[in-house]
Amino acid sequence: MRLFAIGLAACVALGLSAQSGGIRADDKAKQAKTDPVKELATIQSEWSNAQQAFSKAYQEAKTDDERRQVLKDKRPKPDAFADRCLKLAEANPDSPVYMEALAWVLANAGRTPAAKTALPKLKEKLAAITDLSALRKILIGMQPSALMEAAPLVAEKAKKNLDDPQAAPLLIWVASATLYSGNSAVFSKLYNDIVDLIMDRFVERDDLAELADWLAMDDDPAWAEKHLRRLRDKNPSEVVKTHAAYGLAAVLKNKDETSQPEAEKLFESVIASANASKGDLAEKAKKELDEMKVRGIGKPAPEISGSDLDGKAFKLSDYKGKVVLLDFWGFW
Amino acid sequence: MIPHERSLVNKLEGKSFALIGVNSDTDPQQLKKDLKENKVTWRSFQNMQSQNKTIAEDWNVRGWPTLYLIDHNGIIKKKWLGSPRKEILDQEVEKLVHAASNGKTN
Repeated sequence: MRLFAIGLAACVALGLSAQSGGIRADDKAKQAKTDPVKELATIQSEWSNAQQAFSKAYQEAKTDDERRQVLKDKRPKPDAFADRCLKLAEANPDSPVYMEALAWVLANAGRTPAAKTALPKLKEKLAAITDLSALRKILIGMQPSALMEAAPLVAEKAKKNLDDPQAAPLLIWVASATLYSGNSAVFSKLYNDIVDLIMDRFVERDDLAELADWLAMDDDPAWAEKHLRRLRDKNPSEVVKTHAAYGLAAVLKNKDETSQPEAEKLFESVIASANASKGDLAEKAKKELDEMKVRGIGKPAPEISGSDLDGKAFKLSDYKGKVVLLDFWGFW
Repeated sequence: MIPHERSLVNKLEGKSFALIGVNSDTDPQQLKKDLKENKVTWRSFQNMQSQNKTIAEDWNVRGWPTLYLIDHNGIIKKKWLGSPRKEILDQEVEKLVHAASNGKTN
């Protein structure tokens, strides 16, 4: 099971998948023995400056044509930055910078040739680590989704040492790394297996609030519902319970008509819960309740009247008497 | 999603069913091309109905795609945020189409 990439349009608009670009990295990276930590920080800040310049130019563009031009000319190209990171890693195999630089390449320049070199190096290093604490220390701070390819080997290590106190945090890391598995059946299955394992072995841990949030958006609602119910019943932490109640409500409100009262009750319990008011969960629950009253399952669909893609006016109610699948979509 | 929707529309041709889109593309020329290339035959509202008004905002759409399944009486029966699994989508749609042709209300 996996999450869907919500907000895909925004990602595309911001050009996160770089293809072309005009901003060149600073080629003058002198290979003198500078501090590798500082060198990595320099590369990272140059990259983020380039990104900011691009997004500023994009926001300032006024027409679609201008925006297309900005995408074409100003989108930062990660290749040169990735090459520098890779070189830096290769020059400092025993420094902590080694893993950080390789991970940066995978997170920010996943489609570059440098990434193809970085991935096996990173996996090799991870595979050699036997101590789970050391493994966790390295993985913390790295963007999990960029390291999806390394998730199976981390999962194996954790599964072999389930009594180790670091096993559960590592399993949670694996789940976060495989969360956006897209259409990959292998990673989808790994995500499911790991969540099943966490729920089986570690259901009482107090750091599972995030897992509840993931389950709330899973594309297999029946599976998510089962786990969310269990999490809400078995987990002693009020915070986790609240997130599980919210997640369960989110799944049930889209399920069927008979689930609506339970979903409402759960959202109300989140609003009433003392700890939820600290986060934005209570606020979100209020909005969900309002939404359920207008566009909940069992409610009459509100009218839409507007123009079709040829500019002809029509109404949703023109189709009354027919079953309608209303799809908010785009090619983007 | 589009290829599956196309086959759903074809499969249910002549039945009591309509796929209605709310399309959020912003480049009309590109859209025209894409519609043709992807053989999109079903009707869509333009999401942007005026300068400051979109249907998606009216409907509090929080992610794309979002799908609502509405029965022949105009009642919302199902909602998905993100693409549903094909077999689940088909099953839910066909259940309602069947009910519509039998004149049932549920």
